[in-house]
Amino acid sequence: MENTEKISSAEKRKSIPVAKILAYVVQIVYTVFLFLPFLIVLCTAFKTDAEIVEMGKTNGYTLFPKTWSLEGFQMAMSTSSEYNAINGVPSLIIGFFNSLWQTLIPLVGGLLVSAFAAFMYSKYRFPGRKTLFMITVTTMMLPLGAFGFVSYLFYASIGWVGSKGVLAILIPGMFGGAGTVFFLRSYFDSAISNEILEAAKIDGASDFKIFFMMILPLAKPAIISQFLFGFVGGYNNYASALMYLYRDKSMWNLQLALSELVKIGSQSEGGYVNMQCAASIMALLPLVALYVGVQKYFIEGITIGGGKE
Amino acid sequence: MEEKTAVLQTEQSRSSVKPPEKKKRKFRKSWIMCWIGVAIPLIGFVVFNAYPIVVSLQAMFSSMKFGKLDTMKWNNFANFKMLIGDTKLLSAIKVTLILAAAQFFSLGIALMIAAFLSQNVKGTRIFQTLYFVPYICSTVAVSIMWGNVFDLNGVLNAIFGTHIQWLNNLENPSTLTWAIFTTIIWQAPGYGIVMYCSAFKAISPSLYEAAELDGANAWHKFRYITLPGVSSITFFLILAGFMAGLLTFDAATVLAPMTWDNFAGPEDAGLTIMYYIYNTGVKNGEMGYASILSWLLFIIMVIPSVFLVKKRLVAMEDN
Repeated sequence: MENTEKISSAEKRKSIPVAKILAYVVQIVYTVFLFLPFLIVLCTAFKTDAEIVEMGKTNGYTLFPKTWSLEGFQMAMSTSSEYNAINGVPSLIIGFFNSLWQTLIPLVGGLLVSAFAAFMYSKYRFPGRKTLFMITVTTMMLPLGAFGFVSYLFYASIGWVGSKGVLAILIPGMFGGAGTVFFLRSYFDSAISNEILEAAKIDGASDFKIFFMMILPLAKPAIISQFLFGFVGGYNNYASALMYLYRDKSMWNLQLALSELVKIGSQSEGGYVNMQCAASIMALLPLVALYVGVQKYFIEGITIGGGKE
Repeated sequence: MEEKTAVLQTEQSRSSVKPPEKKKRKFRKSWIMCWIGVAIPLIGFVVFNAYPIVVSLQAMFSSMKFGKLDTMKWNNFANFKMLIGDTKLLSAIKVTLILAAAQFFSLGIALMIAAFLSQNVKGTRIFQTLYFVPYICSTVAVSIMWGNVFDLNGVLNAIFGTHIQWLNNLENPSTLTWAIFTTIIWQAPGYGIVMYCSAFKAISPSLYEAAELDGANAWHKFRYITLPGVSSITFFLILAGFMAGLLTFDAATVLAPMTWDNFAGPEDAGLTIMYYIYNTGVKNGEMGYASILSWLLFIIMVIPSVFLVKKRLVAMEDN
């Protein structure tokens, strides 16, 4: 037995270098493919508009700027209303803070509601439990994404467009989601034992106290993964912002502000490509920073089935 | 009432001890809390998903002014007649299918990269972390980024020494479609890579050891152990990719902004089905026709979606 193990490990050692070198090469090539566009955009952001136009005329492309300039960033952060700034506040700044609250309010509200429903399904016995759960699962199976735009008709009929459009962004999410209910329920089923809850109950803890003091802390990995993916989804949300927030500049979220800013640039004569690049870098940075900080939870979240709602 | 008895019956069949007593289960106050708790998500579904869908069902058969519901009128299938000879729709379907293919392509990349990641060379963790970055990036910003690469003064023309408007190429409009294709391929594989990496870990190492003893090379091991071992994840990712591809919107809108005469790039090379629905319904106010398109998309997607959710449910239960 020992002998064969030795042989196999010796064989492994021999076969490893080729495979490992190939693995290195492929991984480095792929890394370059992923990060070269970032580098190009970063360098373009620091060029002057004049340089970019000149480059195009003479076909003398250089990756790095001849003169490093903050022109692009200054334009992206312009306080002039021509660039969609409101009361001297750049649209990207307004958009960033709008994105934060428009994401966090429905996300936190919806997570609490979903987690509570999952808690009921997982730890309580009540009439209709199975039927209601089956209905929840069935609703998950419908590809509702197809109706994303025609729902506009309904929201328009109750007046949640234009100045009240933000309600269409905030309210539906607060009712929780079938996917989250299902995911959290199976997590509660497997990760939280009934004995602990019964012990707490005997000690006189109320249902709500159990929910907030025990269920939520014990299900931290699942909740965090749902929170992170929900946050990424909300922060990057463009389609529904375009539908419901477009008419009210003060409510624009970051992606909408970004795309409108870029439109202004591309409609101008020079193109202001440097401003477009600077704006998209600034829009990307906060989320990339968040990801780098907590990447462990993202990867874990995907593998336990939390991602892609 | 029917629901209630149905549930009781199933419970009866499970616990054969004293079924009559169970039937008289006394009302408990805690049930109210349970019902309210589980009802809220369902109410949300009914109000914000089901009802709007019913409205769109009605809209298919009606005409209305400025999308106002109270002006809805039966219009004798006029919306459906628009389907006939709608060349924009045909072109949108073609573009969407090409872009859905980008998702399959991404899946192939994900499988390959994950296979190399599983070689466990030094720094694998860092590579895996880096590879997920595009997936969390906003599609709007990513599309602007690629828009810059494909720009007239951009790096691509510099490399090839050409002077082509890739995103507005009147001689060969499809370069716009391929620019969107590239954007998707750049962004989409991250999810698949993470999924495959964790699926690879679940394959028993003893299988590889046995194969090694039999003299299998790296390709054989990949072909006959790894691939079958991750087949269920592959199926899941194919379905998820197909659905995501059919719903492509953000990248298309940014890279192919609508012109004043309602074209998404030359010859609508950037018009996806979702983009077409948005433009018809929300922008031009023809909600009836947009509803028909949405229902068509729904019907195409419903079977893969059911399979997908079932797969995902099974995967979650296993965890």
